[in-house]
Amino acid sequence: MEIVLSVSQCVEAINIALDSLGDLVVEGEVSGFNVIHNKWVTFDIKDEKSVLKCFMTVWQLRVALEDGMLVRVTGKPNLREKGFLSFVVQSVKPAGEGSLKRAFELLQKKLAQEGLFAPERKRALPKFPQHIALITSREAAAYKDFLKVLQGRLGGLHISFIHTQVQGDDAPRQIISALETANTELENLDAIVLVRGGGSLEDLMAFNDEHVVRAVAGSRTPTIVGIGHERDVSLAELAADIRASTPSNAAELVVRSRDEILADITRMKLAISSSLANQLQNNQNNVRSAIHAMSNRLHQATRNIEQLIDRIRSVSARVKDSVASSHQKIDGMKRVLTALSPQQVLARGFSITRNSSGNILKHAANISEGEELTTTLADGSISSVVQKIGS
Amino acid sequence: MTEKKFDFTKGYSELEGIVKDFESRELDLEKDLPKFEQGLKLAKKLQERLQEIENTVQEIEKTYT
Repeated sequence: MEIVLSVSQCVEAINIALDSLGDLVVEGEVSGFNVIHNKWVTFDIKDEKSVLKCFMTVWQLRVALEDGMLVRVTGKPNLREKGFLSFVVQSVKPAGEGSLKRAFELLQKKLAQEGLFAPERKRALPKFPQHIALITSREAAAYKDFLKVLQGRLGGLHISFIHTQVQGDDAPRQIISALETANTELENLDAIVLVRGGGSLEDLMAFNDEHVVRAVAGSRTPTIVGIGHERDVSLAELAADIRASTPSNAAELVVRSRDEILADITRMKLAISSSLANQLQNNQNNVRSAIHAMSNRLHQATRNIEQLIDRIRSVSARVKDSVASSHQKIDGMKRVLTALSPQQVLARGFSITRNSSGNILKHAANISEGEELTTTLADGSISSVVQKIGS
Repeated sequence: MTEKKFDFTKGYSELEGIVKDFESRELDLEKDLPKFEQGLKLAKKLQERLQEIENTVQEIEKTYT
């Protein structure tokens, strides 16, 4: 008996058969890459002979794709009701160094345009972190390197370690989950350290995963990421608040060295001691200059007094001189006066003649004949009568 | 997390504060002497704290389902 299926039943039967193939990993070159409504992604992968139509969600696409890129897609073929076969992709990753590099560049450009790596987003770590989360693989050399370098630095640090895979398909999911745990479950966390040792671009792929990079950029706690060797660059590093060149360097950047801090403390001790010493010196200088000023003023005062005494001396000398010369003047005047006194004049032979009214006679015209006159001489007086008046 | 008797960060920034203060103004020997002594005390405590060698590592158990 022939079994007749409806078209739908047939499609369903084919899909059941396809499902039994399990997950397929297919490598091919991307062409016709297209994003629809920022939700769906469609592209073809092809080789020389065949083409496979691929379909996936934007969410599942964690690397940047472009036409011509060699990729490895993981997924299942599915026959659509419309009758065409679509390869439903769960994950896609670049295949080969060239594609990996190109994907890296494309994603870097995209995230840079979004400002994810902008310097102004970077936060500073506390000067002395007390509690940090360390995210890496416990088997990784990075884990030991980080702790070893930390040991030689400022001690007393509490480290919450969260183990994750640091490579392989599951690594991105684990790293994102670990970041989430650190940010939400750990208290008083000062920094999150994400490290991994060196490896090929493919090994380091988890740290170029778009979601991992966004999780690092979006971390509430400041992040420090050190991936690979010094020359390796990962996008997670660029998104971190602090980029370390290696896991050891991450330890150096998180915690300052004991010697460095010790030197700082010594410098500060010296600074306050010398501030105080300077002040002491200043005070001493002030006292000294005050004493100096006082003694200067004392000297000045003494000098002033001496000058005053000198002036008094010279004034008194001048007074003395002037008194002496006054004496001389007085003597001279006395002599003149004495010479001019009427008595002296009379003594020299002059006489004074008065009329009867007692007036001194100076002109002959004022005298009449017969008038009685009195003449005063040096030692007495005589009376006489005018007999004749001459001219 | 174990509680520290002496908060290194706080002590360090307090010492930094004293240095800044002392360098920015004229000191009063009598009034500022206690502050100076406090600075030296802080420096000593910080140095002592620096001798603490051990870091503690605690693994956070996590299963990725």
